[in-house]
Amino acid sequence: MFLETVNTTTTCLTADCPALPGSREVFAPWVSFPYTCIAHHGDRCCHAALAWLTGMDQAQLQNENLYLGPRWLRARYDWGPMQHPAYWCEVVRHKKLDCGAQAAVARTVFESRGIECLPLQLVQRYNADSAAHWYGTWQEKNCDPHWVIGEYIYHESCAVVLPDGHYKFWDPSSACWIEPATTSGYGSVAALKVSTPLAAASAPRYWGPHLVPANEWMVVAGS
Amino acid sequence: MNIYISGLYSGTNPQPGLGMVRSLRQAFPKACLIGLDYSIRCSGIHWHELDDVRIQRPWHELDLDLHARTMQEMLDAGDYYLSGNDLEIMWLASVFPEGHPCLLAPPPGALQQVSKPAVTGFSHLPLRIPPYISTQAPDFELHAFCRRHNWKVWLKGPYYEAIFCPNWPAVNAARQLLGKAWHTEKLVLQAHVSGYEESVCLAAYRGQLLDCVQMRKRDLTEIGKTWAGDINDVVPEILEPLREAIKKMNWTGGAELEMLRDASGQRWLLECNPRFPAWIHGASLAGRNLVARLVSAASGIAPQPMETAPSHEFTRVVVELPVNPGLPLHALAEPFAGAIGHNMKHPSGLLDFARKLHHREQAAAPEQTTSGTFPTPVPQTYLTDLLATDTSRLDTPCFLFLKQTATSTFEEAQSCVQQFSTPSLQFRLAYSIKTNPDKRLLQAALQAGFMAEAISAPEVAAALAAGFRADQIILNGPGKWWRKELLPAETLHAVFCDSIADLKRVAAAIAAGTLKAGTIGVRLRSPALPSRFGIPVSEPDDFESLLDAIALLPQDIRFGIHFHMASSQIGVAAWESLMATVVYWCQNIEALTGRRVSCLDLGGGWAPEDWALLTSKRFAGAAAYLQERLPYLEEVLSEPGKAMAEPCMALAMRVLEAMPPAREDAEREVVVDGSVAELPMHYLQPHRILCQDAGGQWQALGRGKTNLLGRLCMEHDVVASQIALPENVTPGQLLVICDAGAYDKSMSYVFGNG
Repeated sequence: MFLETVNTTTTCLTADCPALPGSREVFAPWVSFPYTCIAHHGDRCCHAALAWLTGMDQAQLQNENLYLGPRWLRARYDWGPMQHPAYWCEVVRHKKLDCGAQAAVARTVFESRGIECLPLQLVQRYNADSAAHWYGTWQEKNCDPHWVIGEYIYHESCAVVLPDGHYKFWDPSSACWIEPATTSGYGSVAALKVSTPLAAASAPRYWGPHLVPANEWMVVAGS
Repeated sequence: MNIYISGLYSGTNPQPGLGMVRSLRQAFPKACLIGLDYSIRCSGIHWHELDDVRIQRPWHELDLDLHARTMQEMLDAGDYYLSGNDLEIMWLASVFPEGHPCLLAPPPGALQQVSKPAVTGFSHLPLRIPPYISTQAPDFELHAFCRRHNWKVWLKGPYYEAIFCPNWPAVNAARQLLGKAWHTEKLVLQAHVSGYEESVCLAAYRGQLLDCVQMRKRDLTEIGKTWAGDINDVVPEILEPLREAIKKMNWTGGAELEMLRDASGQRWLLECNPRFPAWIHGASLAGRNLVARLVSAASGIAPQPMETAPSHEFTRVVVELPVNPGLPLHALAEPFAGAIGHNMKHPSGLLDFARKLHHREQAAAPEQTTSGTFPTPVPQTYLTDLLATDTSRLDTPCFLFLKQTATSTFEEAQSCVQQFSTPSLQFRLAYSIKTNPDKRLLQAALQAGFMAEAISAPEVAAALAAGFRADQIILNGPGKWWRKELLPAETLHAVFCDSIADLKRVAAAIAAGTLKAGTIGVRLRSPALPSRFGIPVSEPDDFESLLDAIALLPQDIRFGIHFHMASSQIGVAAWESLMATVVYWCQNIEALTGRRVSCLDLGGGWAPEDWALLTSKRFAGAAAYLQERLPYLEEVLSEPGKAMAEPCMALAMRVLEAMPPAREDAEREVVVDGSVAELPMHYLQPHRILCQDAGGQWQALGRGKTNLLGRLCMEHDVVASQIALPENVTPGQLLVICDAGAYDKSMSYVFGNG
C-alpha cells in the first residue's frame, strides 16, 4: 500500500524516492484520503438535481462526441473552497465547487453518457509560490488547507476509460485533459490513484505510457 | 554548398523559410545559406544566420519565364533550392516536370495526389477526410450540405485560407471573397470536426522517407496557428503506410499532414502541405532535424552531430532584430481612402501569383465554366403547374400557386407519416398556419388529413374558416391568447404553454371549465440553443418550478411536451440530437412528477428535402425509439410548415432592363420588377430560378455572372446573385423564382408600390 507499493512502467518508488524528496512526510496525510462523494437525500430534491445535471449535459453536448470533456461544468461552477458534506440538491446550486465536488459532478456526467469514469486522486507538484497562495486562500475562507503541503497538492479528477481500454484523465477543475507526458515540473502529476469499485474492472490500464494499477497509489516518474 | 531558401515571411502566420534556415545552420555551419524572397517586407530576410539575401520582384511583376531560366541556372550550378511557399512549389513543378536533383520539392504527379480536400496520395493511412463538397455543385446541394453538417462548415480556398460559415449569407460572402481573391470558382465546403490539432512532418528524397515526426499543437495563435508544440515519434499505424505512400508518389522534399484528433481518438486529415511547416525548427530543437536530413540525402554531406535535445517541447517568442542595412524597411502602403489600416496581407503578391498560375492552367486545360452547367432541377410538378398558367397575362411581380405541387406535397407527406402509426402510437401532422395562411394551402392540408397548428386566436379562426374542426387545432406560442374572443368553445386538440405563468393560467382555466383541450402541455426551451420560446430549464430552480407547475394540471387530462427548433437553421443532426435531449428531459419529468407524457410535439422548421428524408428514413426508427423511452406516449405531432408550403408557390417577375457587362469578364446587371420585398428569404436560402426559352420551355438557371437587381431604390435589393441568365434576355422576359411559398410569401411586404 501507499507509495512504496508501486506498479508503474516508468519508475518505482521506494521509501525515499529520489524524484520525490521527503515523500513519506509529504504524502502520508493523503494516503488514506477517500475520494469525494456527494450525498443524496433520497428524495425528489436530489433526484431532480441529478436529472437536471444530466439533462443539461445532454443538451450542452449537442451532437458532439460522447468523450468530449464536459467543459460547460467548469464554465458554470468556479473552483474554490466549499463545505462538506454536500448534497446533490445543494451542489448543483453552488457557485463554487472544490476539486472533489468538481470531479464527482463530472464523473456523474460521464457515467450518464454511458462512459466508464472512475475516481482519480492525484498528488501534483507546483511550486512554493502557488502553494502558499492556495494555502492562504483556503485559510481566508476558514477552510482546511490540508491539501497543500510544500510544493505538492492533493487533487481530484476523473479517469475516463476509452473504447480501447486506455485511460484519459479529465481534470474538471481546469477543464482539460491531463497530459501524461508531463511527468516533471510545474503542474506535473507526482502520484495518482484510480479507484474502481468493480473487481472485474480492477485490471491495470494504460494512461499514456504509464501502466496504472487499480485501487493503489502509484508514483509517476520524474516529479 | 549553396542552399537557397524561400518563404521567409515571419509574422504571426509565418512561412517556414526562417525555420529551415535555422535548422540548416544548426546542421551545416559552413554552408552558404541564401534567402530568396519576393518582397522586402518579409521580415525573415533580416535573420543574422543568412549569408546572403536575394530579393526578386514581387509575383505580380515577375516574368515567370525569365525567373524560370534564373532558377534553372541556379540549380544547374549545383545550388540547392528549398521553397517555403506552396504556390512557388506548384510553379516549380510545372517548370521542372521531371524534377531536378537540386530542387528539393515534390514532382507534379505527387502534388496532384496531395491536393485538397481528397488528398488521395495518403488514402491508405488510417485517417478520415471530413466530408466536403465542391462549390461547383448547385446551390441547393450546398445548402443541404450545410444543413446536414449543422452549419459547422468551412469554405476553403484552393491554396490557402478557410472561412468558417455558420449560415448561408456567410457562405455566399466567403465564396465571393475567396473566389475573387484566388480567381477561381473551385472552392470547397468542408464539414468542421472538433478536436485537437496535430501534424505529421516528413522529409523524403526520391521516394525514400528519411525521417518523420508527429507534432501536437500545445498552444495556438488567435487564428489557430502553432505557437507551441511537442515532438514525438510518428505512431506505428501511420508510419508504415506513410512510408509506402511516399514511395509511391516518389516524393522529394518536406511535407506536413495537418490532422485533427477528435475526442474518441480518430484522426482526420485536413490537408497536406507540400513543404516543411513553419514550426519545423521546433522539431530540430527537439533533436529531429528533418531539413538537414533532406539536404544531406541530396548532397551526400553529413550534418554536424546534434547535441542532446533539452526538451521534446518547443514554444515561440517574439524577437526584435536589427534590420539588414542593405535591406532598409520599405514605406508603409498608403491606406485606401475610406479604408481602415494598411492592408499588408500577401506583401509578395501571392494573390497575383495565384491569378497568373490560374491563367496558365486555364490556357492548358480550360476550367469548365459553371455558367448554366449545374442548374438544380425542379420537380416535374412545378413545370406542369407552370405550363398550366397563362403567363402572358400575369401582372408581375406576383406569386403563383402551384396547385398540383401543393396537392402532391401534402398528400405524400400524410401517406408517408401514416404508415408509421400503430394502434398504440399515432403520428399526426399539423400544418403550421403562420408559415403561409393562404386558404388554398389550408385546404390542401385539410384535404390531405392534416391538423392545423395556430399561434394566435385569429389563426384558429382562419383554420375553422377553412373547415378544420376545433379538435383538429393545436394552439401554441407565447401570444396564443391574443384576441382570445375568437377562440371556439369546443375542445381544441392540444394547447402548449410557453411559460410557467401560462401553465398556471391554463391549469386554472381547465379546472374552471373555461378552456377545453384534449392535451395540455409545455414547450421546453433547450438550455444549449438560444431561443426566446418555451419554459427554460437551464437552472435547477427553473426545473423545480416546472415540476411543481406540472403537478397543478388536472390528472384527467393528457399531458404533452413540445419543442421546436428549425432544423433548417441548426442542422439536421443537431435537430435529431435535440430531439434525443428533449426525450431525456421527458423521461425525467415523467419520473419526477408521475405525469405520463402522452403527446410529444416535434415542431417544424424543416427544409422540404430534409423533411422528405426524415419521414422516409427516420420516422420508422423514431417510433420504436420513442416507445422504448416514453412507454405511455400515444401521439407524436409534427408541424411542418416550411417543408409543405415552400414548394407550393413561386414568384413571377419580369426583366425591366438588361445592361451589358462593363467588361468581358465582369458581372452583368439585370433589373427586374420583383424585389426583396416579395422575396424576404432570398439571403437565407437559395431559390431555384426558371426562365422560359423561345420555345416556351422552362429552363432552370445555373450559376453564372448575372445579378438580378430589384426594382426598389434600396442598395440591398438584389434578388439573386451570380445566376446564368441567357445573354439574349430582353425587357419583358418572365422569370420564375421557385421555392417561395413559405416565409417569402407570408413575410413579404408592400414597398415601393405607390
